[in-house]
Amino acid sequence: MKKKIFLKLTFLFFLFLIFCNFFIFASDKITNDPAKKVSEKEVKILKEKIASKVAQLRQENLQALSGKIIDIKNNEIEIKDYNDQRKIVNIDDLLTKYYSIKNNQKKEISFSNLKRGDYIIVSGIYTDKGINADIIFVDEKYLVDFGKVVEINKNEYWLKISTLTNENIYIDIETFTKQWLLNIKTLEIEKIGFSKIKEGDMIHFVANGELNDKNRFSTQKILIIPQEYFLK
Amino acid sequence: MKKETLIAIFLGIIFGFAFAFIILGNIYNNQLEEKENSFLIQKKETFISPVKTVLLKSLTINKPKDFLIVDSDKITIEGEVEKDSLIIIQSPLKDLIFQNKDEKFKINFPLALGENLIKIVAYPKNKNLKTQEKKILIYYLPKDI
Repeated sequence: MKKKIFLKLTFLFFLFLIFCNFFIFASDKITNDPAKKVSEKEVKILKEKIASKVAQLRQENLQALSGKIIDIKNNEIEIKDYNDQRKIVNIDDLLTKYYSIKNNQKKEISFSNLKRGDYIIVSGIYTDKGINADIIFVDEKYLVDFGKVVEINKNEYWLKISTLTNENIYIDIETFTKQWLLNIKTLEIEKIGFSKIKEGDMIHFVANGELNDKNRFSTQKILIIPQEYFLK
Repeated sequence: MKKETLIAIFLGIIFGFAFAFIILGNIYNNQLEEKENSFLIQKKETFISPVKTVLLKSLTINKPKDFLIVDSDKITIEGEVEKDSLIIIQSPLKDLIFQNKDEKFKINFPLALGENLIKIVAYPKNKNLKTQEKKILIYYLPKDI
């Protein structure tokens, strides 16, 4: 009886081995098939071509949007753009990259580094409500404007400027502010001090985009066009 | 006189009148056209004169387009404005001041990484004319990021 069972088991074992051998042989034949190898190579090339075309199209359609963060949610940031319009920035956990820009240098950061009030530039593809973000840069916002000097405060070093649209802007001249004056004869610019600025002069300035604690704009640099230029 | 001679004289007179009418008609039409033309010329002259005073070259920036994304740290700014204007191009990175000898101007301008707000202001040589300004926003975002 035992012998019969043993023989049956041995037979089944050999049958199993024969089947295994057959499968190994079959799979080996498939992988070593030269036609299959060529088609795999072709598929790889095609995949690379598609990927590069997609990247090229993405680059061509790449658009940018900038504004101040007003709200941060999961996978979504709300910003206010130049025209004070709210835009939605859609985030992709795997795709979106984050950088901060300071002194013309970029540094990689993460989503958790973003906070309300940050000024960001978003590059990606526009949607109906905003943009799908590829890259987000945290940048500094600047105010670049010009106007006529209508008031000078020599104690607190601030100027009241009247712009072309008759808007009044108050700017602080800081210790770090670069001050330049146009020489009306040579049209070259010269370094000056605060005392050289006169009421009635035209002033071109670059200031930080946000008001400081004195409700004035801190200027990075100013360029004075003396009123005498307009009397020539 | 014969009947045929009378008919010939009668037909000759009729044809003569008809010919005279055609010639006179042509002369009258020519005179009318000349009058109309001279009136049109006068009209044109009176129409042109006020336009001449309005022909002031306003500041236009042909290149680059606003909100452009570039992969280079400099761009060429091309524009047109009244001759001999004092042009000031200012950004947080650079200030450029020059006077344009021709109406068209073309100048290279450096860009900072990220957003570049560029203000272009033109003070015309004729101080009675209005100062003009344009603003462009350019993004310098390198591809290798």
